[in-house]
Amino acid sequence: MSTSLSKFYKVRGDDTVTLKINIGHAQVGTTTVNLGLQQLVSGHKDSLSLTLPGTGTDLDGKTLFCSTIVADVRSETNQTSVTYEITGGVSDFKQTLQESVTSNGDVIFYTATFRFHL
Amino acid sequence: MKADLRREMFRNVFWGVFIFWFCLLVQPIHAERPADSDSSLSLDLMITPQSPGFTILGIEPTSVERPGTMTDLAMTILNRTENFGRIPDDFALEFAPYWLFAGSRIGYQDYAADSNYGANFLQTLSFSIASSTSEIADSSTTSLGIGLRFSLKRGEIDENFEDYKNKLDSLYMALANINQGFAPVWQETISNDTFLNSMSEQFKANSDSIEALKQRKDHADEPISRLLEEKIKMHEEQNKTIERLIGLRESEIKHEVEAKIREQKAEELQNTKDIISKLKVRRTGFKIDVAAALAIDFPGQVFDDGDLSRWGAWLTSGHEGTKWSFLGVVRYFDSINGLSESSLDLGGRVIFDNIKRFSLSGEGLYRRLPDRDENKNEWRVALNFDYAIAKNKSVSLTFGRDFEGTKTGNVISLVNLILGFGSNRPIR
Repeated sequence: MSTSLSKFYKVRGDDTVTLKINIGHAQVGTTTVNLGLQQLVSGHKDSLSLTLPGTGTDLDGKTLFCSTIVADVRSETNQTSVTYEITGGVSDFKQTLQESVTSNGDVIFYTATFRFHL
Repeated sequence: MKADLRREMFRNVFWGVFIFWFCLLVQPIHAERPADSDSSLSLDLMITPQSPGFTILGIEPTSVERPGTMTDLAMTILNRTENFGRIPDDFALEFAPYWLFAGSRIGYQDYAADSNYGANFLQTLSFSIASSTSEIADSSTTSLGIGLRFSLKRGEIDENFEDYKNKLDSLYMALANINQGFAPVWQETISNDTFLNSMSEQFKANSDSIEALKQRKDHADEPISRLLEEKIKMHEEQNKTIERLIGLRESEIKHEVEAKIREQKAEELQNTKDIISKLKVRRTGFKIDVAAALAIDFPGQVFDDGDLSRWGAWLTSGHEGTKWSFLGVVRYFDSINGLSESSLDLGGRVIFDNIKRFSLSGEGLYRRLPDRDENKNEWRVALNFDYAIAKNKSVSLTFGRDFEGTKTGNVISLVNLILGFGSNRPIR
């Protein structure tokens, strides 16, 4: 099980790119997303979907930083998960990271970086 | 006989009231059993059992295996059945397949809402499997109970109940604050890491080479084209390795930064834990719960002699409001081996839950016994008074008339004490 993801993502010059982050197992969390030094989202509650600013040409060479903190609020399970989905490039990408907390009410830090290139 | 019954009833009520007030006065008492043990199996006939596979066998397992992943489930089954070679003794397993297969797809909002029938069914479907060994007719018999349970309607999480929404908002705020401390440090460390930067440049150079080689390959003849293809593959392999190395390095950085933040924000992290321990979930609205179970006996523990011995089904439906709740239940129990009676129960319950710590409920249950020659059906009525003595401790007093035919008389006067260990999560 992993809590960290790194991906090079090939974009197309004129197309926009969409990012979706889904916090699974009905747990709660907040997410911060930065594109290089530009903050796109801060403290977003639960799952999110956003279109990145600019086209593939604008994104080329930039890195998207996603940081999500998930809290285990469900007594039925200790499982937590975050699914990252990127569309709009040469091919779609989707990956789920999953980790369980050691005790009820703990938090898990999830991170993902996407490096865009043409 | 009636005088004995009255004396017995008086004695039970006296001790019930004594224990009740004793519990009120001595709140930090140590628990007799954990909150997880399900007293409702024997006491509460009106609720669809959480684990019908255990209920059909009449057992309350002290240890239940609840695998969190599909791999855990497969390993549990393979280990306990010795690769499907035997029926395990005294085994209890419970799992919810949708959470195992597709738990990552279920967001908090989907879970909190009372979604459509299909989503409710999938999210609440759970299987319970248990086995127990007993001596029946001088022979050691292993019984296997298999049950399922689901809700078609489950109500929505009541955001006003016990300040749930405000507590949840505080939790979001606390998480956002921790993330604000973590994210910039993590991002800066990655951005300034020389290894990551040089690897990224190498990746970019390889990608440019791949593009150039692809263009040349499109116009090249067969032998050259094959050489170019090999070069492209080599660059692609290099890039896969680079991506893997970057992943490892970033994972290292993430863990280093996380460890520092966990140390710096220890108080805030403890605060989130405290908030979570106070989150008390109650669903209100229309509810439909269904459960069914069957038991198979294996006399002499011989697999081929296995026979269906009994089965049961439960349907509970009603409306749970913030103050008043109405509940109806239909329960059928069919004994095929004749060791117990088949029965059809029809009943209802009204609950008044107006005061913060107290709740009062009344229930009536009519039992039809189709196996009896005379059509001698039975009934039960009971009043239940419940008091939460602390956030994870409660005591309930039940008084009423039970079904006929019990050797000790059919007066119900019970005090049930439920105390939680190891967690501050509310149990009431």
